Amino acid sequence: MSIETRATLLEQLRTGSTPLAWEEFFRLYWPVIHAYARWRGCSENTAEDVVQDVLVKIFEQRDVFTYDPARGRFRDWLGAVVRNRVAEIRRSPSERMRAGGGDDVAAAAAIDEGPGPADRWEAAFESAVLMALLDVVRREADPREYLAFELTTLAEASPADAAAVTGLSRNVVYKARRRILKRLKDLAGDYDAEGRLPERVREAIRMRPAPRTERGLTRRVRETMRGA
Amino acid sequence: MEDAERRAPETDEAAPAIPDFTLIRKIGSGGFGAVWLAINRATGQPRAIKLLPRRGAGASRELTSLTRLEAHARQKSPHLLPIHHVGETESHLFYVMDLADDVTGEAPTATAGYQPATLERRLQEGELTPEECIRHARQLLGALASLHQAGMVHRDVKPANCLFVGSELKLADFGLLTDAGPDISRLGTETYMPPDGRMDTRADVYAAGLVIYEMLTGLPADRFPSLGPRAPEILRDPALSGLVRLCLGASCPRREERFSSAGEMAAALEEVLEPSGPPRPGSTGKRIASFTIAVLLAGGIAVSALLLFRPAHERVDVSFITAPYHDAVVYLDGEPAVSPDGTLYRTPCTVEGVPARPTRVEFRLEGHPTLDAGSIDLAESRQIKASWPSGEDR
Repeated sequence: MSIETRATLLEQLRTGSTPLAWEEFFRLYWPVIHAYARWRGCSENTAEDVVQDVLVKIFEQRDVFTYDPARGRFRDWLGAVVRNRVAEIRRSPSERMRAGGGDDVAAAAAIDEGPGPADRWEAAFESAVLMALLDVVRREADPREYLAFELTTLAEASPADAAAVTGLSRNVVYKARRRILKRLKDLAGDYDAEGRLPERVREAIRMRPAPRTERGLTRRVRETMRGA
Repeated sequence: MEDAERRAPETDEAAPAIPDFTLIRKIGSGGFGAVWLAINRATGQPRAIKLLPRRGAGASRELTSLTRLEAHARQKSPHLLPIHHVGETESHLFYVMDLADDVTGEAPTATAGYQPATLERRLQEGELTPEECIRHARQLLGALASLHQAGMVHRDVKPANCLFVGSELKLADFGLLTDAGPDISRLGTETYMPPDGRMDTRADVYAAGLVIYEMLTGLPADRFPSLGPRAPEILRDPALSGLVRLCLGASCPRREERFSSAGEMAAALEEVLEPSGPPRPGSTGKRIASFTIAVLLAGGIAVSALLLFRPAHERVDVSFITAPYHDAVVYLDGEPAVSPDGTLYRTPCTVEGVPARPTRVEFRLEGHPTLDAGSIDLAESRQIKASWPSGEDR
C-alpha cells in the first residue's frame, strides 16, 4: 500500500470515520499491537484487550489527532499509545486478574532491560506492513493462482501439491508463483533491498496469532466500534 | 416439563404482542429484523420468533416468500430450520422457528443464560475437524439446494445464519429470502457478497464456498483463499484438499465460473469426496461374523453342534445423486428412505446406516418417470448416480 493510500485512509479515519476505513485500519494495525503486547509478556487475553483498548482510544481521539505525512510520525504515536497501555496493565494486578492471568510479568521485566521495546515495535510494525502488502496482492490475484503462490512460496509446498489442491496445471502454478512474487516485490520496494522478501514474509506470517484469535478480535473490535 | 418454564418469565417491555406467544428477549438480529426467544403460552414450548417490521411494499412480498418457505421447509429439506408458523400483526411480519441448541450443547430452554449455538460461535473456538467440515458442508448445501430447486434464493448465507439443532447444521434467517429472478436487489452481508453484485443462486454458492472455507481454516471469510496454519494438514488430507477445490470453484470472483446452483455444488462435493472420503460412522469395512460352537454332552449322547449365525449386514453410508434434477426421493427396496427426524431423503444426499447388501434403488420425482437404478450391492457402491434421459421435460 502506498504512502498516499495510507494517508488517505488515516485522513478518512480522522474526519469521516467511515466503517470501511476503520475496518481497513483495524486490518492493518491489530497484528502489530497484538504482536508487541505478546512480546511484552501479555497473555493472549490481555493482548486482545490491549488491541481493543488502543483502537477505541484512537477512535475516541479522532477529532484531535492530526496526521502528519512525514514518514514515521503516526507509527511513533501509535507505538507510544500501545507501550503506555501495556505498562498500565503491568502496573495493575486487577487488570491482570481480569484478563485471566497468564501474563508473564517476570519475562516482561527481563525484556525491559534488554534491547529496546522501540526496536521490537519497529519489527512488529514492519511485519504488519508486509502482511498488508500480501493482502493487497491477495485481493488483486485470481484466488486459485494466489493460493498456488502462497502454498509454494510461503508454505514451501511442492508445485505438484499446489497443483493438486488448486486444480491448476503445474505450468500455471509456476507462472502464478513468478508473477505474484514479482508483484509483491514491486509493492515492497525498500523492504526487498536484501532480496529476502519471501523469507521475511514467512517470518511475518509466523508472528500472526491463531485464527481463533483473529476472529475473536475482529468481532470484538466491530462490536466496540458499533458501541463507541 | 419443568415448572420453571411454565411460570410467566420476565419480558422485555418493548416486545410487540404476538398471538399465542410471550416474547422474552432478543437473541439475535439481522436481515432487517430481530430474533426473539419466546414461549408458546399454551404448551410452554420455547421457540425463536423472527420479527420483520412492516415497512412499505416489501413487507407483503416477504410474507409471500415466507409462506412459500413454510410449506417448502416442512417437506423438502431436513437442513432448513423448520418454520412452524408465518403470521402478521399490525406492526410486524413474524415467523416461528425451532430454537437452536444452547451454546453449551444442551437442549434449548427459555432461560436467561440461553445463547443460540451458531456456526459463527463454533468458529470462535477454531476450525472444524475434517469430519465436521464434511458433514456440515453437506447439510448446508442440502438446505440451499432445496431452496434453489424451489426457485428461491437465500441472499444471506453466513456462519451466523447456520444454527445447530440437535448438533446438526440448519440454515436459518430467511429475512432476505426471495424468488430467484433477474432483478434481485443487492442485500446481505458485504463480506459474503460476490463482486459482480448479482444476488442470484450463484451468489448463494459464492457465500456457501466462503462458509465452508471458514469451517476448514478457522479464518474469517475475508482472508480467502489463504489457508493459514492448517495448510500442511490440508495438503496431506485428500478430503480437505478436495474441500478447498470446492471452495475455489464456488467463491470464484467470476460469476460464470461458479457452480450455477447449490445442487450442482453438492454433487461436486460428493464427487470430490468419493475417491478417498474419510471413514464415516458405522462403516467398519469389515463383515462381522459371529458363530457359536456348542457342545452338548447329556445322557451319553454326545452332540456337537456348530451354530453359525448368519453374519449381520454391516451398515454403511451411501450417497445418492441425480441429474439434471435434484430433490428426488430415494427409494430402497420399494420403501422411501427416511431420516431420523422423519423427513424424506432427497437428492443429493447421503443416507446413513444403510444395510450393505444388494438393494433395489429408485428415484422418484414429481413430474418425472421413476428412475430405476436396479439392484445395486451397497457393500460395493457407496455413491449412486443416476440421470434422467436428456430431453425430459419437467
